[in-house]
Amino acid sequence: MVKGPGRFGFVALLLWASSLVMPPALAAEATLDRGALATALCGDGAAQAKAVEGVLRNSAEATSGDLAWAGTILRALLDRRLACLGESALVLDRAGATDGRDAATGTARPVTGGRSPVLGLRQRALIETASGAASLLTGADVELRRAGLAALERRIATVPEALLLRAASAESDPGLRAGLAAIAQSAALSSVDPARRLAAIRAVSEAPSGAAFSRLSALKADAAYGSDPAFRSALDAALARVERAVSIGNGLAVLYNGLSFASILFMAAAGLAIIFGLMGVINLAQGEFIMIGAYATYGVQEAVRRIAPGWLDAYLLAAIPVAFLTSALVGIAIEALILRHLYRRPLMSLLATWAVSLFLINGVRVAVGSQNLQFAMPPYVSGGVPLYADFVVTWNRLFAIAFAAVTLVLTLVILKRTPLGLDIRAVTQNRDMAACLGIRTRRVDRLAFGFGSGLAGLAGVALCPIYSVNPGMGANFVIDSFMVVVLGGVGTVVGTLVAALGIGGANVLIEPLYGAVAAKVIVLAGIILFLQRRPEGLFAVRRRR
Amino acid sequence: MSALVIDSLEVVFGAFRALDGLSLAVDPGEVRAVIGPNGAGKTTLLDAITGIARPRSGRILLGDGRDLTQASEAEIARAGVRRKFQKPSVFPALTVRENLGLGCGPDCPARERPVRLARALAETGLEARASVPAGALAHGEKQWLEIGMVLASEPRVLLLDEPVAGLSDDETARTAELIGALRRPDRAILVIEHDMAFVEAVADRVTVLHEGRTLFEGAMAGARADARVIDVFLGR
Repeated sequence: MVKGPGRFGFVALLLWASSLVMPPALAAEATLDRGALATALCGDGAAQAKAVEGVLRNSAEATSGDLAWAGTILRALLDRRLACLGESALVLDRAGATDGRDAATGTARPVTGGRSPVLGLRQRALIETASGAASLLTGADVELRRAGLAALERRIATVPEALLLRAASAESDPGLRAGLAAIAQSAALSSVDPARRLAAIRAVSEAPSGAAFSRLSALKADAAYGSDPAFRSALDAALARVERAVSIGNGLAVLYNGLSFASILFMAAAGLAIIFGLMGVINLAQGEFIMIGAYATYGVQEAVRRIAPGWLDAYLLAAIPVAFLTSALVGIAIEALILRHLYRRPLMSLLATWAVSLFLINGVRVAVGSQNLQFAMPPYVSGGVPLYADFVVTWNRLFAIAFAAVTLVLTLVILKRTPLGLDIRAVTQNRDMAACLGIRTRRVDRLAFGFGSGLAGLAGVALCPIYSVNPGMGANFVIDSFMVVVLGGVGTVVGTLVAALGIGGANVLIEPLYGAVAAKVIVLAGIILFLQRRPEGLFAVRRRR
Repeated sequence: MSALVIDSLEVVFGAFRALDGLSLAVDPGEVRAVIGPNGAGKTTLLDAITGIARPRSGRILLGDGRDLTQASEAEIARAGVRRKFQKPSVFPALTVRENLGLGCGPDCPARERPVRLARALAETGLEARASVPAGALAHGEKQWLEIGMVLASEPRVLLLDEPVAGLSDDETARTAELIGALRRPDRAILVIEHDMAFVEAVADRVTVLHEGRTLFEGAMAGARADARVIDVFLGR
């Protein structure tokens, strides 16, 4: 036996097997009686069904010319472009045309006096399948053949195996070939030949997925499961294998979703941690800075759509600096207008930022409206790559994760390698001493507030392709962001990162088990317990107040 | 022309007169020691010069005639008056190099910063410890780091508050050497210290404070001989 053949190998195997089963002589091309078919199609339902079943049955052996011809007439019948005049059938260019060509001879004739045959539901389905078979085998381009395959798939039980084998051997498009292989596989699963069945079961378990699992589970109802011990053990082994792979894949998917949620939390919370660590201001408007970032992204999208529609795909990238600056400027304005007067009064600044948050939410609601914004999805944030079993790496979440990673690196570089970062860290540790060294602490405050707000704006860009964007969206993130800051320790980027991963992951892990509300409650209770042990959080910067 | 002039300075905390009409002048290039028993007002004097304590009356003038009593802490620091605190005040979570970088001050030109950093590292002998967080340094090293931070800003007036408190004899001797090396013609250094041997080793002149007033000013030998000084220190 070929080991680990995969889908293509499996098809090759089938082809090889079929060449043994069907000697070349049998494949000698049968000719189609065109006139008889045309007559039958113009006849009653029983005659139509019998003729079409014949076409389908012989499709593996028919000549390409006959198949193409049958496809044309069957499609004409489906589209009501077939007119029957006595014994002969006319194919029209469009429904209701006055002239048509004789289906059997190809001569042009007027339609006058002709009638359109009526199709029953069963006949329609049969004809769709047969016409699909014709398209799959003779279609000129990939799209036609794909449509044909899709039509066959709907009634796969009626499709002869030889037809699929013929199509697979002739097919040049790899995607379509894979699709054919999958279909041939499921056909082989219900094959009468036990060896072929076992091979099919093994091949299905090679590519585990939820669909493969349900396909294999369905075989348990098969009579062979009870009677044939080899079949039974092979099926049980395959099921166990697929089940394990699927649960690993699902686990990976949960982790992946948690990671992307954590990425956005991290971007929101990093700004919060810097601001709180530096100024002791609990910024309840941080969620609204996220919202502003998302709305700025929308603004960029609309501007690009109007000015340079050809560049629409690039709008997410163009929005990065715009969202950062917009949120940062709003933050700096709020700092200069309101918070500056409230330092060293934490309760007042907390209430003030809450007021700012309400003001921003309702301001946007009045200016833009409260509906969810519609975002175009450039190719780099839509779709994904199936990685393992049902686990698909979706580009939109990968975008958020990569974005957060870049933000993390830039934040660390700014904090660790620039004079501003050094000033921020010095003022965070000991404001009075930093002032004695000549650092303009008020200016540092303002820049840091702008920087922290800008980070939230970046979170707004990253979540546009994943979450819905509306004026109240910030509330979903601000509470979790605060938990991240408290858990991670104030004023540390690394602590924020670890806590964001922990809280994001915990939320996503618990949610499918007990629901979203319970997840929040459990995470909150866990944090409270943790803070009883370590009130300063995971990683606390030592400092004087 | 003096580098720093204190003119009838009066600092009051409630009913307590910490400084009571104190006057003193430090020349450029001079190392001046201020000594006195606990509560004499030594640290209050430095607080007033650096803007932490606000005098009720009197003036603190820099060499260029600028009055520091009206300036903010940051402005005073930027004017070239730098202080090393009594308790080592470094940023424990930042590395030695970062601490020295902060010491350079915000007005230090970016090009000059690495030069000053290298010089401060060399003068304090902390080159090998440049990437260590300041919190991990020994007490003596922290003292030198803080002197280095003050130094990196190229101060015109250097205020040292008990630089050898809690140091071993070896470390004290090294600190005395370090302060000797910091002496420059355009720089005035004011040292507050209890350790008489150390004061004798580094100071050109000493000012003895008592109850917020000047008790004696002159050479250390003179202070040792002065009857009032002996009275105050021995509590007779």
